[in-house]
Amino acid sequence: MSRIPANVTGDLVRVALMEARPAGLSTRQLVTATEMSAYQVQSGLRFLREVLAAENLTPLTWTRAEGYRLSTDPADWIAYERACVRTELTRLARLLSSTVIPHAQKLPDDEWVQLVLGQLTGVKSALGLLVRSA
Amino acid sequence: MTTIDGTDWDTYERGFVRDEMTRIARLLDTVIIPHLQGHPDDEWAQLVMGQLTGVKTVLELLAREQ
Repeated sequence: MSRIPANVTGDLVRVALMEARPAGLSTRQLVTATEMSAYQVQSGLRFLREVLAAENLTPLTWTRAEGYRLSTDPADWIAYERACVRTELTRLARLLSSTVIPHAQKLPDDEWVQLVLGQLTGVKSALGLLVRSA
Repeated sequence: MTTIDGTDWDTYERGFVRDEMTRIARLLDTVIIPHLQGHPDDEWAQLVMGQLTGVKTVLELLAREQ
């Protein structure tokens, strides 16, 4: 199959998601709806997220239950943003407990690791505050 | 004894910081900024924008540390 430019795959994905509103579509459902390959759907999703979201002021959201969505309801965006922040918080907490804290305890005079420990602890607090805020 | 020496930990931490910086920047550019441009008065979006911009700056500074 000939290569389809990203702006075209992006627009086909956008149209399929607009038609599915207010529901979402999984990658597999997007393949069926757009008659493109999974690879082309991925390229379209990337274009939609990185270019069209800013143009249309509509973020692309994803949940396990509903798949990809172009919701017009800011409450859905907030739920997605909160989930993204929670993911980053989990990644960071895991890095701190599994690597940075043991490293800092082993090398108490190492400037780099002490700096990382202090700064990332602050970042963890900032993300935790966001996740907890109503 | 552990076989992990200080350098390996440094490399891993630096890699994580750079990766995390990219992830936060992408979240800002693709979700938070479009949200805020369409709804400039949304308090939650303003809060996330402020906090994540600060987080991104910290990660950038750490990534630059020698």
